[in-house]
Parts: sequence; structure tokens; C-alpha cells
Amino acid sequence: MWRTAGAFLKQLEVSERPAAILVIEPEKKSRDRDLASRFRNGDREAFSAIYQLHHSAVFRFAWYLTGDRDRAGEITQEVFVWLVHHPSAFDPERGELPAFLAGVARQMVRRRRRDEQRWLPLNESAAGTAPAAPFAGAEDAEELWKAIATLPERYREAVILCDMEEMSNEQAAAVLGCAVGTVWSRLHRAHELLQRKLVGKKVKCSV
Amino acid sequence: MRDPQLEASMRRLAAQVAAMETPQSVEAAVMAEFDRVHRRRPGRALAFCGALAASLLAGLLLLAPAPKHAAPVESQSFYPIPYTAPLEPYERVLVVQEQVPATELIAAGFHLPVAGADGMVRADVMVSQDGRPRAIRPVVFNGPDRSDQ
Repeated sequence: MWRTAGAFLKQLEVSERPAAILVIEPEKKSRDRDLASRFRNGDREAFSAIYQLHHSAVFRFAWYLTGDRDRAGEITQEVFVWLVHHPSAFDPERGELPAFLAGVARQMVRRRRRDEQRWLPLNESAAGTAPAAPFAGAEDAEELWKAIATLPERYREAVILCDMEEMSNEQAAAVLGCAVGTVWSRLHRAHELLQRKLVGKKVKCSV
Repeated sequence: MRDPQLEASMRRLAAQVAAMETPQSVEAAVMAEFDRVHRRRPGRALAFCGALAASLLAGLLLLAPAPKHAAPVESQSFYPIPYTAPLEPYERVLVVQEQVPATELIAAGFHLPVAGADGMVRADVMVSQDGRPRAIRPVVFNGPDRSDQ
């Protein structure tokens, strides 16, 4: 039994899978720890390195949660600006930097949603229209994206973190602030829902 | 285990999303914020160091032994000029420093052990509102010689 989809996909076909930045190896962990320490002391290069290493993962995660490139860019900017103002917020003893940044991004997205819910669009036709996702020539990916977007938030987050970003259940639990078993059950339930949604859509598989 | 079709779709979706790039403006904005924040901090540090240095200096001045004063001038107070009306309490005065002929001071009853080569003495003169000198304080002298009074 594969513990995560990432492990399964690695065995299946590694070359077609984009390198997941959120996956943490020991040397990366040590590197992040060193960079975070230097950043706390005001090292500009260290902060720049942190940005270069992690902005893509934060941007992707924000895109998965919002489905909008501009919003994802804004969320990414908010996350790193927040980090600039809270250099000591990340504690290497308590977790890993990618999971920490994903957690901050998740909070930013939630806060933005709360703020947006206070306002109603003047043009009712504009309400609820999801931004078009750029999936040229990948209809099954587009169908899957739409299916993921309609999942309840707690399931969607689990799928994004574990399946799309290849986080372990432990890392996802750190991001979501819940137990590892909760992540596993949410993931299991999310897969059931996705398969049910996609059955009628005949997802094309060109593997 | 999940459906292989679902796995494949996930793989393609991840590949599509991975191709998206963070807007270039984000990095510029983030680094600008870093520079702004860290440019401000040295100013605070300098202000803190300045305040600390000022406090230390003040402490040293307070704890240090009092410096020896210059030799006291024997004449620290003004002496009224004879035969002039005394000043009223509310009257404003002006003090000017002038060169006064030593002979005039001696004639007025002051004892001057030292006088300039030109016979002049520097003195602070208290001038009343009406412009008349009312008191005098020679810079170097021993006070009026009133032994004969």
C-alpha cells in the first residue's frame, strides 16, 4: 500500500513528474536551517536564497487554493513580506521551512477569503465564476482541476499537499495543524469523491 | 490504492501547474520590503547607541569628582557707586563691561592693588533704566577700601 500518491508516482514514472520543492531531504533541511538562521541576523543573501528556493512551491500552493494566477502572486508576496517582518517566527526545531511557508500561505488565503466574503459583487453574473485555468491540451488535467476545486476545503487541501505537492502525511499535518491520521482519512475520502466525480466525465488517460 | 487514471491525471495537472511561474514583480516587491525594513533597523540601533552613550556620559559626569574651581574672585558682588540713588526692586538693569579709569575708582573709594599699564581697570558696570551707572564690579580688585569710613 502506497502511503502517498507521491511515492506511488515516483515508482510509476518519475521523469514526467515535476520536481516537488516541498519534498524535504536531510541536506535541504540543514540548508534551510542555516539560511533561516542567517536571515534572522539580517542576511539579505540568505533571505533571497530562501525566496528563490521556496517561492515556486508557495506560488503553486496558492494557485491550487485560489485557481487564479494574480491572486496566487499576491498571496506569495504577502507570505514573504510577512516573513520579512517576522524573521523569528520560523523555528527549525518545530518543523520544516516549506511546511511553515505553506501554513502561512494557507492562513493568507483564508484571511483573504474572509475579507472577500464581506463584499458582494455588483454584477451578479460575475459571482461564482471560477477563473479559467490554463490547461492547454490537457483536458483530463482540466477536468481533474475542476473536480478538485469543487471538493470541500479540508479534502482539497489534503489532495493539494499530499498528491500534488508530494508532501508526506506528517508534513501535511504540520501545515494543516491536525493529526496525521486526520490527513490520511481526509485524503482517502477525497480520493473517493474525486473518482466519483470523474467517472462520468471519462477522464482521458494517455499513459 | 487509487485509480491509475486518477494518478495520471494528477501527474499531468501537476506538470501544468509547475509550468506556471511566479510573477517577476513579486521578487522585486519582497526584496524591496526586506531592504526597507533592514534599512530602518540600523537607524534604530544608532539611536539606541547614542542614547546609551549619552547616559554613560551623564553618569560619568555625575560620579566624577567635582572639578577644582578657578581661584575665587574676591569681588563677586556689585558695589554701589557712592552718592547715587539706590535701585528700586522692580527696576531693570543692564550690566556692561567697560574699561574704567583706575583713578576714578580710587576717587570713589575703591582699593585697587592691580591696574593696567594704561591706568584702566576692566569692570562690570550696572546701569539703571535711566542710563546712569549704579554699581560696579571690577574684574580684579579687592573691594572698596572703606577702612577710613
